[in-house]
Amino acid sequence: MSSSKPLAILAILATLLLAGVVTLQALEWNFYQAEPSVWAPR
Amino acid sequence: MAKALKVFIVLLLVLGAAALGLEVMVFLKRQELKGRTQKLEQAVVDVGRNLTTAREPFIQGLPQSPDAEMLKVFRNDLEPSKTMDAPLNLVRSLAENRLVELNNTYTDLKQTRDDLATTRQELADTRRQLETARTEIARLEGVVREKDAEIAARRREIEELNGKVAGMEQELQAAKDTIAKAEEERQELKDRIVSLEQTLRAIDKSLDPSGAAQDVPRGLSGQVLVVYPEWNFVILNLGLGSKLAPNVEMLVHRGDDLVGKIRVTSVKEKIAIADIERDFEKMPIREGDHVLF
Repeated sequence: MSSSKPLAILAILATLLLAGVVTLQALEWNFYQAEPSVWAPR
Repeated sequence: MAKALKVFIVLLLVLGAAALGLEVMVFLKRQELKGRTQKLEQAVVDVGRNLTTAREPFIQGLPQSPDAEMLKVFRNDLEPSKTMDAPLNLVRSLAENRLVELNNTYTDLKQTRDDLATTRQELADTRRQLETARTEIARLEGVVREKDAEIAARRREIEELNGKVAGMEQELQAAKDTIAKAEEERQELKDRIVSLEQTLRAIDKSLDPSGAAQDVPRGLSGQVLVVYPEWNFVILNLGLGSKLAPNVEMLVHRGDDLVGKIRVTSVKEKIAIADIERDFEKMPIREGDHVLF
């Protein structure tokens, strides 16, 4: 039990990092989609 | 198994941290990327508009214009022609055409400047010639004025001379009248002379009935060939060829001395016979004495 606790903490931390990456990409996507957009109208 | 999971989680953590770092960097660049893209789009649109807009009175407008919406299409797999390449190519083509027109315009401008320089040079030459011609005209006008003044003086002289000529013509006419009168008087005198000569000849005829002496030339001279004192006549070397006539009295002289007078009684071809007038005989007539009518 004592050896799995740091591992879990690391897993949670890695998950949070990936969530941050996804969040930032979503914000960036939304920024580029906002008018005036640099992309073609869908 | 747990160890492998531990390595995987650690690796996942490291990759997540790296992805987050990179994403943060890209996220911070988002405004710059979008703004740059939009400014470039607007610049391309403005350049296309400027290239197609007419500039009166020399640059004509063009119907094509880049589509601003198509500039936003980076990739369209269904219709590749409807991407930003089309308006960019259009702007490039317009720019090249305008560049060709500009080049032609510069060429024409250079030709026009050369022509203008030539024309200005010709204009300067023409102005110099004009100035020279004006100077010459001014000089000739001065000469013309001098000539006009001279002509006026000559005309006055001609008028004066005409007046003199008129006076002289009057004098000439008066002289002609005088000459005509004198001619009439001369003709009257001539007629009177003829009349008097006729009268004189009539008197001579009355004095010399034969009238032969009239035809004998005055100054007729000859010589005594033979003297017959006992018969009271002499023979002369004058005859009909000398126009001697009978009844003509001639003087006989010897040098400057008067000898006497003879009267012709008969005239032959080359000789004549004359009686000695004893009343006028100063000395005896001898052969060789000269006779004179």
